[in-house]
Amino acid sequence: MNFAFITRSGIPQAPPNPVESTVATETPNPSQDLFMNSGDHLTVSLHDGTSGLVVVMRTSPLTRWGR
Amino acid sequence: MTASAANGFGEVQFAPTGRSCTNIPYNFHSMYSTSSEDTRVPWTAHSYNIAFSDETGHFSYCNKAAPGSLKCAQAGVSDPNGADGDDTSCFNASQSLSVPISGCQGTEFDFDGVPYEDTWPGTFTNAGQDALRHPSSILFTSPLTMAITTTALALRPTFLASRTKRRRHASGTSRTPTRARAA
Repeated sequence: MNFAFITRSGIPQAPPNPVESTVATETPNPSQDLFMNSGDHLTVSLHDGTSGLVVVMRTSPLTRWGR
Repeated sequence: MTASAANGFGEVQFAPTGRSCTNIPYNFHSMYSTSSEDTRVPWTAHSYNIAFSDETGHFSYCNKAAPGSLKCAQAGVSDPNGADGDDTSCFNASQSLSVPISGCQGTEFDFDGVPYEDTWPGTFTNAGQDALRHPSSILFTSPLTMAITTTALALRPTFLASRTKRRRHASGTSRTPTRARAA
């Protein structure tokens, strides 16, 4: 299984693939990841892109976002 | 984020007699262009199509975690007879990124963790106390495809794939799909 947290830059904090993944892959990183609070309203977009499935998350009203 | 080879996504090279694993960088694209409440992906635990998944059952209290083994060195209130076999991946409160509570995140096999107790919204008859002590429910809207909402959805537990035995609060869970029609 590939695993990645949604980051604010869109770049994974560590390799998502199961062969090269590290402890950092599954350790939340507040400096890179999109953190949410209780009561947040989110808009989640998933669509196919030229390089693969694209995921974008935005808070509503827009104060933070990640992809 | 894009599930792309450039971002480090990949699949494992098939090598049934191999002694090591090789990653094949891979761009993961959508497999289906349409879906319905009857869509099934037969090779996964979750019958994913356009899905929302919330996994629970991964928290048991532990008064003190053993840093090296990540096992529970001093059982918490969930285990009056001592730590048990599924008290794994334990962390001390000092390691928390948010709420400082010591506990274990290992897969629940004996259903004695916090999510299997009366900790859910609506558990208390006193609404004020309930709101004070419990989180609110997760609410989500129907998915939109090109601004068009879905007209049907299905709810499906993965009990058969992830649980080996049941305990009291799990007795109401069905192994078969439960359908709900959206307005």
